[in-house]
Amino acid sequence: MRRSVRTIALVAVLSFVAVACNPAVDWSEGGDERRWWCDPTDTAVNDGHGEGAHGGHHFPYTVEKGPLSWQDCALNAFFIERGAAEAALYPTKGIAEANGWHWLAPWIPGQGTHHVRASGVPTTMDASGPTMLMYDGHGPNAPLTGMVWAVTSGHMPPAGFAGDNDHWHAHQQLCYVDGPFIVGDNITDEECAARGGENVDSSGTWLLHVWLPVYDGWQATDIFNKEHPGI
Amino acid sequence: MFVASCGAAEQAESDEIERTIEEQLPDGADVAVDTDTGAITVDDDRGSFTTGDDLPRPEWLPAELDLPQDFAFDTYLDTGTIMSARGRYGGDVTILLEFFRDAFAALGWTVDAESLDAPVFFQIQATSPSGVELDVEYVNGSLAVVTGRARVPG
Repeated sequence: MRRSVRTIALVAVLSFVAVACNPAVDWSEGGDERRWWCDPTDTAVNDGHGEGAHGGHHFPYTVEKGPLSWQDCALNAFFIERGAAEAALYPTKGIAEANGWHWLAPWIPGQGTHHVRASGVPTTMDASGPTMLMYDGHGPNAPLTGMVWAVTSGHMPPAGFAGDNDHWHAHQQLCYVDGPFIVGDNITDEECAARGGENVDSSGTWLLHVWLPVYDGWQATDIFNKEHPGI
Repeated sequence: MFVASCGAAEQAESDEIERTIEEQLPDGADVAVDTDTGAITVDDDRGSFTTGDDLPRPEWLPAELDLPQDFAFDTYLDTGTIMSARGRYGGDVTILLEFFRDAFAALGWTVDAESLDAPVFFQIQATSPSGVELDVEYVNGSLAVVTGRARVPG
């Protein structure tokens, strides 16, 4: 079944559960169930990183982010909070690695490390759980900073989450050494070889950061923003 | 959390909700809606996830372990190997750590490790006399009990 059809049907059900059964439950703007991240205050296209701060690139989104419909807010809440519950099982880098999350990329400003789940990056969107987790440091006690959804979907980013606020980015090529471990982003083949690695075309793998659970006291102005100001 | 207090909602309605959600989720997911509490549980290849308000104490949590009186669970997650129960908590992190330290001591559990980074984080790991390993942790206002998770060596 097409994802859009699934989405509509699931929203219909959630609507029934959330509204029909209890009129006091309100996911619309200002409603008691509405999540803060359904109304981003940072609405810039491509998170304000047209070229990407780390050599990444964005799909050419043209529409600014904005308040989600109550249906999209409710649907995203289910999947994002489920993902956050899973991420919270691994509050530190050491715990994540002890439980099968592979350290794939070093700490970078605004994000942290990238640790990928053992099953790797899927080729279709799996809303129910993050593909990667990020940590603020290289030591075993480095704390969780947030989640990453990743999909290898080719030229086009995945349909992603409900609504139009998830602006995905990709990297043209990444330099990998054995591990695998990323040691360069958009560097020349010669530079990569000098680091003992090999460049891999990564342009078809799309990434989306999701800033939950809350880290460093920052309630994201845009939960899908590319970067966290405290890292 | 998804509050859906249907009260006396008909069982048929509940069945329809469950059936409709199941049809929309991949891999034969099973969905259950508790019409008394409004809690929604989804079981799929990622495990079991429950969200709701004021969820009952999970069966796997040793009954003898006290929890703060004003604390309530709002999510359960069971990955197949790891089980967690979590809820929001607004108490002082240092006092909360002391609460669990005392609770484990009173039960004769062995505290294996603990760490504190007030006011945002603490973790205390303990093992019961029968060998049950339990982690209690607080991160940014979220208090969780976790079992089955591999611990960091050393």
